[in-house]
Amino acid sequence: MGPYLQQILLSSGAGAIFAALAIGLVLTYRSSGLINFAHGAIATYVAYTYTSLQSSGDLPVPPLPNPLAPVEGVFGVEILDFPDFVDLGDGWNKWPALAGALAVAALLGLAFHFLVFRALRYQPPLTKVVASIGLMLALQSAVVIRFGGSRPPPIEPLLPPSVRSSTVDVLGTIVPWDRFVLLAVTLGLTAGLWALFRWTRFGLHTRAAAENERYATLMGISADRQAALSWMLAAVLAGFVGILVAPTTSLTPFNFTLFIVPALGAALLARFTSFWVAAVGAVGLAMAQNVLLYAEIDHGWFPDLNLDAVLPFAVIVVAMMARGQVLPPRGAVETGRLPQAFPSPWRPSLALTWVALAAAVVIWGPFDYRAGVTNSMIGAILALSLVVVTGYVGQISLAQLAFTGVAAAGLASFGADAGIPFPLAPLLAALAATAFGLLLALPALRVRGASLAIATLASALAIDELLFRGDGWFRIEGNPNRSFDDPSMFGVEFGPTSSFPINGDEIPTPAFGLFVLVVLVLACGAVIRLRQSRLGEQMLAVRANERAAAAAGVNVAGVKLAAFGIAAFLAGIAGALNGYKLGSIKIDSFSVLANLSILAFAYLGGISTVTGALYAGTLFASGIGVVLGEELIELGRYETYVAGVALIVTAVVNPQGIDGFDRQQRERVKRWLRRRRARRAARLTAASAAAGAQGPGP
Amino acid sequence: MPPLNCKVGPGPGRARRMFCDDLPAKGEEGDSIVLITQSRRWLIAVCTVVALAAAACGGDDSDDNGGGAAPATTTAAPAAEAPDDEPAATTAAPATTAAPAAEPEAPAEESKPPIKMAVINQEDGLYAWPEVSENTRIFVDWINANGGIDGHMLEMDLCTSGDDPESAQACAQRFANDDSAEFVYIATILNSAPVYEALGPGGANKPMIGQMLWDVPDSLQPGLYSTDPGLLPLAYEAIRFAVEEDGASSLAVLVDDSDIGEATLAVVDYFLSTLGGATLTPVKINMGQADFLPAMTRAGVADSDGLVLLIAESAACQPTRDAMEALGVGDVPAYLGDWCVGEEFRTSGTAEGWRMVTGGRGALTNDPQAQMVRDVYEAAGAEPPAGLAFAATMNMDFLRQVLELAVERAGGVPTGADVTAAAEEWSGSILLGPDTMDCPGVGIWASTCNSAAIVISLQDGEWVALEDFQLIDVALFDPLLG
Repeated sequence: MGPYLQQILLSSGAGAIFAALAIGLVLTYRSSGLINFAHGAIATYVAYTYTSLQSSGDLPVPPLPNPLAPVEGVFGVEILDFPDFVDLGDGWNKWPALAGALAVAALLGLAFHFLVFRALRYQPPLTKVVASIGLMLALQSAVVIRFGGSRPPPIEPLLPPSVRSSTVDVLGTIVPWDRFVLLAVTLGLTAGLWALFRWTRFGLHTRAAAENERYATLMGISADRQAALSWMLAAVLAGFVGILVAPTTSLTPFNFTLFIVPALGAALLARFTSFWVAAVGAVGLAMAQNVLLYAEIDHGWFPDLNLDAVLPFAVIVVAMMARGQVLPPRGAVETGRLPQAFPSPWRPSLALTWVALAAAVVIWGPFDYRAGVTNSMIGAILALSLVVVTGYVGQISLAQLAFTGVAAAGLASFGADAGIPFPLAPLLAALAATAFGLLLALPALRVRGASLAIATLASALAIDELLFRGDGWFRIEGNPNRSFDDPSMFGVEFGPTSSFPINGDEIPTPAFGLFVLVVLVLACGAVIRLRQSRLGEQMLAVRANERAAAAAGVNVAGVKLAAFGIAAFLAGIAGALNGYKLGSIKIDSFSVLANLSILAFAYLGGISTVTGALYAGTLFASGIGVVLGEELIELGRYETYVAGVALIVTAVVNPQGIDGFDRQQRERVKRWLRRRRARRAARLTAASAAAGAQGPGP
Repeated sequence: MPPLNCKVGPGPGRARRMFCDDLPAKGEEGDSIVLITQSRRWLIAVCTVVALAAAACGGDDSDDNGGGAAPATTTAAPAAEAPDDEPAATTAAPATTAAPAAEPEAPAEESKPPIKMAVINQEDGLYAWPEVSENTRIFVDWINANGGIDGHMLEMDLCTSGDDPESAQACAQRFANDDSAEFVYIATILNSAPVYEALGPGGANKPMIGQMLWDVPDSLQPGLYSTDPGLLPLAYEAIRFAVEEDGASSLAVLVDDSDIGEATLAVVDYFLSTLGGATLTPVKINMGQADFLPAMTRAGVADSDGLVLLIAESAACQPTRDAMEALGVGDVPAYLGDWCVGEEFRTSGTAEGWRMVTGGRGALTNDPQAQMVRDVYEAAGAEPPAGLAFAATMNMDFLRQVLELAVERAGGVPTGADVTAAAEEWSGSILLGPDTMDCPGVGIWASTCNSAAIVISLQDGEWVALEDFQLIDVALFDPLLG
């Protein structure tokens, strides 16, 4: 028992980190109804700010929009130049640096509330999730832009050396004193928040607004002000935790975001309501993780499946199964709706025009356009999977990229290892992804909205850890990078390097692009058909109101299962195609963070329509939109940052995405044309009436 | 909740106001919510994004060489545009045959055509090194200010990748298809596999100089020439030093839970068997690890003769030291590569007492060549490169020397074959490295230009070499190929 007790006691540091993040998540949810995926990124940004102030006295300034940039560009002059850093003297002592960094955190929290989330308070969970993902991307890339990736600055610990070097004997186990101090600080913060919500006017008002915003407002409580204060508090809390624990963990631009997954598990366990349950749950989670890890070493029979990383997923699933609708409904006025799922009428001439254009670019275009269009088409198939599951059925899935990983790895297993020929190998790989999609649908039968987003995110992590690492199904000893040959059928190869009569000397050759185009057309046709089918109508009914759909005789569970299955199959097809394109796969390409970005970009394109998926495809990694964008404005290192900001702006301004904007503009033009025709007709009528009135003379 | 009964009517100015029968007062707006007109919302949004994008393009001096998946071409500043204080950069140049002359040479003859230098750097994304692009540009400026490569100016064509394999592949395919790109300088790239596939012997077969990360076996691929010994030789020397020099018989190992970590662990296992055996307790740890302490106890650091750190990430240095101190095992030696070698780790004492294997003398503060590099960057008003950026600088200077040989061979702008031949015949003193080294190495590891490693340690705040450069017989690794 000794070593196990030791692992439990030594987990207090990790538990403190998870707990601190978890109570921050609970705080944000209770005050503004938002599950803040950017909470870890805020901690990161503030911790980097602290190190910068403390080491050099420089205050980082996030990249800001320069309103005069177009003028500067035209006239070739520099009028407004925002600094990267504001020089505030030499390196500060740690306490002033802490105060400065926390002040930055408070300002950030305030800015995020007023600029972003205040406008989204009546929007559905999907919009809020996307905005918080955009914020996360923007903050993390701001850190990379300002601090680079070569080496993080050393951080001066807040705790004094005497505390950091002391140990304490607990039941014969030596445990560092500072870990207990970290835990005590976190529990103190938890107690403070609990007391704040329990006994102060602020807490009372926040609870009232969360229970029923309408009546709270009637009582003269400003839910908006409560949310603003809570955002400040949550950002300060995140920043403080980031600074406090940075010396014990690795300060990188993305680490704290990864910690969000176990923190989300604990917060979900607490139904995003109880600070104490969240904190204790997080500490327990950390302890259980380390006990599992030790068991792997202690017992030879224990599988090396990274069960510690899977544990948050297990906690989340158990919490959902046990408690059903996990998140308490907030009494907020929710007037926003999911983007409209416009039907896509089959217009052969238009479809043929686009297909011909894509084929022309793929065959005769420069190689980078060719690659861009091919990447876009693969991305569009992946986005189509989100159209089905999120756009049509309203289920937020943050695991679609994991399904592409399953299929890509499956392709290597079925194709390269087992020698199964094309097209059976990619089809089997896609079916493997479908199987996982159906598994993932099980939690969706119980929960929806933001809860489901968390469940799917944890699923993505579980798939990554269980399948791709350790003794996982798809791992190859010593060579995790899988590779496979070009696809071929009847002696004809159509891979990226396969010969082609036109432009066959440049990679990728047109052969693969044409192959992907055929698959995309089939996928688009299938999804269009699905939208128009009875199943598609049932999906939309489920999206609109599950109870009403069930009352109307729709098998809600069956519809959800079908949607997840179809979506996972489409994602699997995209994964297999991507494997062929890259020639090899890399497990790190399917990380949790990448999964978040996929949903966000699909939303940006328009998550409810086939056209939106095509737009989204252009925005994915090295899609044609990115290629053209780079040629026009060379975003370079700012690409992710601008993408994050664009996501936020889209969520706030136009939740319909690019496709929705496009439709609005087309409608506007049509209305203008109709009015113009009507005016002209009216003028003609008036003229003819006038002519008639004058009439021929007697 | 009953549905709201709202209607939209005129508001102040051109704004619209939403009136709701049963919506209670909101702040000062009474029974209505003011809505910004759609057109204004769009105007604000479009202005924000356009201004942000425009600022990204022009608002920062350091990013004017930015590119992307569809990369931008950047021509490094010619000699005439070099900063006035550029010569100061060379005053500390060492008297080595390969290093540039101490005094700036006369400006290059304009008749000599430029040499296109294709560069790939991972600049965007959440795992990126944007600063390396700028460091490379400064170094190229410095070369050009000193007369270029025998009068040929270097023309930098930078392709910036994100942290996704698609954009890395796009960069590689771009240069694979570009006949004017005879060779490619790989500044940093994590997604090496698609890059190597496009540019390596199985693809366009263009010589690559620089470093490929993450994908195994890093830096040791035919066709890739690097001063970075790579993780294999570094790990080998760390283990050898622990066992043979320090007499360690039991080692705790923290290994990165990633592709490369998995592979390296198998390699370390193999090394130990060749070194006569020492018990090894490996524990996987990832960068998403909240606390290194439990992992370190699982690895049994307290009962071992040393800790081997196989996490090629400088962000792991401070948490490792923190956990060791917390466990009271701060005096147990740690064996690792060069990722914790740096001024900040010296001044903070993080690396005190650790044995770190490096391929060059860069860390040794009194080294004249290291000083030369610092002077180059200080003269350009930039921070001297650190960490991975410093390794990139080493490769950049190696490229300069190879190109000098290649130009001499070709009598003008070299072809890819000239660069390959120059790299393979090159032998000499490389910046910050051992006195002599050869390229290629031995056997299959043809591109291991630098197979020499040195163990240094931080002792009382000063870097100290614990041994001379050890020439590693890379044929030792052949069995690893299976």
